[in-house]
Amino acid sequence: MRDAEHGKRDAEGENADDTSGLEHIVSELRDDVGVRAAWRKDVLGEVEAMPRPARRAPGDKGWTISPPAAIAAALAFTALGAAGAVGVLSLRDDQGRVTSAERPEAVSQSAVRSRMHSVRFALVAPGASRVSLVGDFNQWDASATPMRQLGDGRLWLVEVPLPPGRHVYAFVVDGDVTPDPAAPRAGEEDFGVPSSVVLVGNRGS
Amino acid sequence: MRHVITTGVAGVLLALAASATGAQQLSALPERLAPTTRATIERLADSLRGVGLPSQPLYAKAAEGVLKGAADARIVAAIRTLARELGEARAALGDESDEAELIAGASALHAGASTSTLRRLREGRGPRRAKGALAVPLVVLADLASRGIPPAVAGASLEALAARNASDDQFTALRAAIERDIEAGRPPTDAMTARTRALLGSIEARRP
Repeated sequence: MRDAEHGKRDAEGENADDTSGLEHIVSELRDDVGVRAAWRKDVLGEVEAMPRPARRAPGDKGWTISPPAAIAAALAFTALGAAGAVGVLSLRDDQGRVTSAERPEAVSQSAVRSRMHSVRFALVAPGASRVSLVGDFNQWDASATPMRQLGDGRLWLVEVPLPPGRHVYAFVVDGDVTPDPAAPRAGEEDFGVPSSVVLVGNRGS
Repeated sequence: MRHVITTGVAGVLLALAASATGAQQLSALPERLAPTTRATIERLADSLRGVGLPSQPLYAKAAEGVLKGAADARIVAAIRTLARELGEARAALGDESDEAELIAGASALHAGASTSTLRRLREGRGPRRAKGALAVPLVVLADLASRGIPPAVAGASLEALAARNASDDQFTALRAAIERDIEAGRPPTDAMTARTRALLGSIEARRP
């Protein structure tokens, strides 16, 4: 059913501009995640079958520290988890125009060594059947970072976490290496095909 | 609570996985390269590390050459040039330069900019420039030079802007405007000078 709906959206998107691809994925991400009725019923049944907790007697403080090490581990685990969750949420928190390599918000990840930035790469490549991102961050491996086709099929998109700094990259469109038409060129064209450059991170001005 | 912890742990694992992917540094050479080629590149990388210069760009350059189908000899030649330009960039930009500035400086030199242009850009940003403050002007310089603007013209224009404390956003906007002009058929040098003049005028007009 979802595929059929996609097909319908794709057909409708023939005359849409490039932003329709972004709207498409945003609406897809906002779709409810379905839960099977039988599964929901089973879970609720198990919850109802659980014994009710006993009421506390007056003066009962209601908690014990036993064993203390388990409590400490749980607290540390929760802190790490919260930090990681912040990082993941930040990585998904890019909105706005789809251009080329964007420089989004800084990602706060106290649980990891370096500050990573989620960078979105987009390319309009009508008629392409396979597009991938290559660069100094993935060893220029054409199979490492495939891009996803969106909307009416003309827009290809991928989002990758990158450390701060200058990154050289290109796209591989059906086997042909091509620079990003919307980004600065790297300046060194040693191998015949130009590459593009993106600066990641908040730099001084 | 169990649900919260499970979500948190998943968050940590995903964040770490994302970090590992993004922070992947090139430390291995492509297997397609001949052993002698690999040995030569490793020697060059060692020598860069020995003088405190980043060696990672050499590995990236080798991988780029392999993807683009270049022969080993061409890859080695490009890497030798890059190693030399990294050293020249540091000499021009100073020891305080960060890695992004050094690599961008090397690219600008490769595109035809002179070391004196790099030096003047550094001076334009002042002795206490913010970390990485030269990266954007240098990336713009390399881009403009690769689009057919004589490096001397591009360099002089950017030096003038840097001396007037043009912001990264202004450098970026300038590059985009010049690119549009060139695509519209305007001669590159005309586009560069006209856009620079307009931006300089705008900066001067806003001065108190």
